Amino acid sequence: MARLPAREIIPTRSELIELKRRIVLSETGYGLLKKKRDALMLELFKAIKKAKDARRELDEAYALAQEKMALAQATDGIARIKSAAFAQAASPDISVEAHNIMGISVPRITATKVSRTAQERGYGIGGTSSRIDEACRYYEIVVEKALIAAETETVIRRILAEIERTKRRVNALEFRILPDLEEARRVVQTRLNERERESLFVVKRIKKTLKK
Amino acid sequence: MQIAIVGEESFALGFRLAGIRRVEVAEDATAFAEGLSTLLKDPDIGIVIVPQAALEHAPGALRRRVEESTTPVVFPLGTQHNEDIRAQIVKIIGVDLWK
Repeated sequence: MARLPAREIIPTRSELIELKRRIVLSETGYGLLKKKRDALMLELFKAIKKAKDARRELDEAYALAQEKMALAQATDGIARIKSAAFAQAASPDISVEAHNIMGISVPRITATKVSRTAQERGYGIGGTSSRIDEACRYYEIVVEKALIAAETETVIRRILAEIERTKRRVNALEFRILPDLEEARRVVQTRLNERERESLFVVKRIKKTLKK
Repeated sequence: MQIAIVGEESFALGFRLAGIRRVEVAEDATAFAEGLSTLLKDPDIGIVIVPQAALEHAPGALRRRVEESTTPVVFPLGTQHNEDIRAQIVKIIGVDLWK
């Protein structure tokens, strides 16, 4: 919104009414935005708690999965692992739906069939070893945990972006728009009062002259 | 929807074992950017798992697209993966709420 230079304001009654209306509107908006910012902060606290837990579990699962994979590579060789990887029968199916938190669109991820039994994985049991099975199982856990962490971290990113936008609007209203409107209202009010005093003085002078 | 992976073969292999079929093997930064851009346009992809280090070296425009994208969600995986969220929290809120 452009600044309102005091000298460009037309000092009329209608301008004063319009300025008062804009001040009330800005104050209402300012109050609502502050409430929205506070509500977003509460949502952020909840999301951070969930995300921290999800990340910790994912970190642990990923470290274990990498360990199992290294063990499988060392004992069975990369060729057998690749053979098992390319023989996988079913891939995990997920759905990503957008839902709203305080007007922000955030994803909700649901997954089916991430963890599978050895038979469901599709490779022949005889052709692989228990180390490859273990690596499969741990990577399935990583995928499950990654889906949860992805959802919660995306929620955090979206909430943070919205908090930043809301803070900018609140600050603009508090430090720029509202002070400018108040200043404009004060200028108009002063000029109107001055004009009223002038006209009153003119009336009194006319009355005095007429009496003489 | 499917889960997809972009990254080096060594990163993708474990996820192939977990049954993920959609894999864009990218051994350098250019291939990574191309692979990720392709997946971002695919309506059948719900989530893309990428190595954190590769995403950090991606062009700025691509990183911004990644940050704004809801479907698919791009999820960086690595050792320093929560540092950027932590930095963002400190920048916007002014307090490290992640610690």
